[in-house]
Amino acid sequence: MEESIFEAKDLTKKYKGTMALDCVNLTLRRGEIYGFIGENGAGKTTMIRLITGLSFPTDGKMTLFGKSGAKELQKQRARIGCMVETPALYKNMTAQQNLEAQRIQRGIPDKECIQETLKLVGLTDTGKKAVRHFSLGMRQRLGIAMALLNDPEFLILDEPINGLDPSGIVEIRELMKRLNRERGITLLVSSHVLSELYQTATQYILLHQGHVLEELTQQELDEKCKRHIAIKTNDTTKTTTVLESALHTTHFQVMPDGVIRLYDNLDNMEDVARVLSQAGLLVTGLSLAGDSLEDYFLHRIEGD
Amino acid sequence: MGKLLHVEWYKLVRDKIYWILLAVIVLVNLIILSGGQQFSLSGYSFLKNIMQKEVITIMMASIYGGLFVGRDFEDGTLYHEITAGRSRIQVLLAKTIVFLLALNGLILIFPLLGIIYCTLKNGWGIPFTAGMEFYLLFVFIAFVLLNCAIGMISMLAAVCFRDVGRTIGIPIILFFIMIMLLNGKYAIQYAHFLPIGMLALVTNGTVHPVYGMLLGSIWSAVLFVISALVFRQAELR
Repeated sequence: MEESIFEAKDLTKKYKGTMALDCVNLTLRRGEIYGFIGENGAGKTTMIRLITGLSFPTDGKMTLFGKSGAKELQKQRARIGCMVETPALYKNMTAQQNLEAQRIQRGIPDKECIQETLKLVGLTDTGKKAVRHFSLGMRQRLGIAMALLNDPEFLILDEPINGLDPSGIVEIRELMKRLNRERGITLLVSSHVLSELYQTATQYILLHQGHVLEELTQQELDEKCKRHIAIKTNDTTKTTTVLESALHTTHFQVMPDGVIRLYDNLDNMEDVARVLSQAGLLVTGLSLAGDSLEDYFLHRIEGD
Repeated sequence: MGKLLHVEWYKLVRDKIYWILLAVIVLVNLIILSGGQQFSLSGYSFLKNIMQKEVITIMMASIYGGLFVGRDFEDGTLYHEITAGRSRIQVLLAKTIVFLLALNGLILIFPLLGIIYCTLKNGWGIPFTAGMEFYLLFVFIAFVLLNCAIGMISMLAAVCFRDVGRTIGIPIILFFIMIMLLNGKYAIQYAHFLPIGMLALVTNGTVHPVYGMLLGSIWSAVLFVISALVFRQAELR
């Protein structure tokens, strides 16, 4: 059984009449990169605040590294690295001094980790420049460096590519993947740039109006978003038989609403239509379909 | 706790605003007092006089309190300690201790320099009697504790409002209210309860410094407890 890093049971957070999280049940397993998806106000940052101890749940239970209870959760947070919303930086200090403050606070004995972390995020040449003079992208990188300094087991990044230029986005994406692959760090990444998240995450959590709408793996998402011919006929069973016998394919899936998703013959839509008609089926829908993560997310929240 | 104190100290030492303000306070006091006879007084007389003229210094130091504490809330840097699994009370305590040391540094730098200068130049002024060292020590501790009580207003404002503007603004408003009360009909009565009034009473010898120590301790402790209660359950955004 895979070890769970974080578990939420009926986790609820209410702010003056607004339900930010409503009985959320969630399990994050070690070694995955979780993409946290949701509109503004869906509850992503609230969830991150609860995990990091910046906020308290109204109800429900949290377990971090298998431990629960306020004292234990507090202790376990030492194993987390996080950047919540905008990077929290000492603006009058340099990048190195920011990390030195973090090193002291975290009780890390090895001073070498500062240079290593700066190198990791590409901030080695900032010298004596105070953070207040940094660009948004540089601040973002430093925020990630602050989160990484203690070599966390669980890294939480809220909008990590905010303000980064295209090459910076690629670098941070690769960094996240490398941290996951080489150090086994579990990541929880929230972002509005879903195309970017799609290239990083191995698991997705769709949050909508304080509820977990869906949890799915990369494979499941690929399956659901895959390009296909969506076929709707008057007889689903007969259609599948025709597809198998006439087109010699089993690469299709019958969806709960009766739509058949055919994943091959994508370039032969006319043949598919002809075969179905010849079999005496009434074709009520035949179209080429396929979702991006954005499309899929939008369809899901519209259907909720 | 040691690491938290260390990191707060690290931040204070690297805060240019603090050192600039320290220099400005010395300069402002020199300008204000340059026209008078203050620097021809003995060390003891200078001590008696100076704390009653420190109103502007205390106000400037309170402004720094807003910056030192409020900035940490506004920039979210205080949250590093909490997300690292530190106890909120310890985080607040470490911040409070370093902040109050910094505040006392700002308020007491000029009086201490002035006393040393006047004593070296004009002598101590009165015979150094037995027990005087304890009296002076008590006066010093009373000053420190009363300054702490004044500084704790900034700390409470920071914890309640979590931004720089109000953390600076609210203590200044309270400060002016205290000054008005201390210039009113019941000034002496209020002076016995308000830290800034007690500073004057201790300085001019109206009350024994032990009362100042007691009042400073009570105000500091009460304001810290309220701050801790607010901060313990605060939703940090």
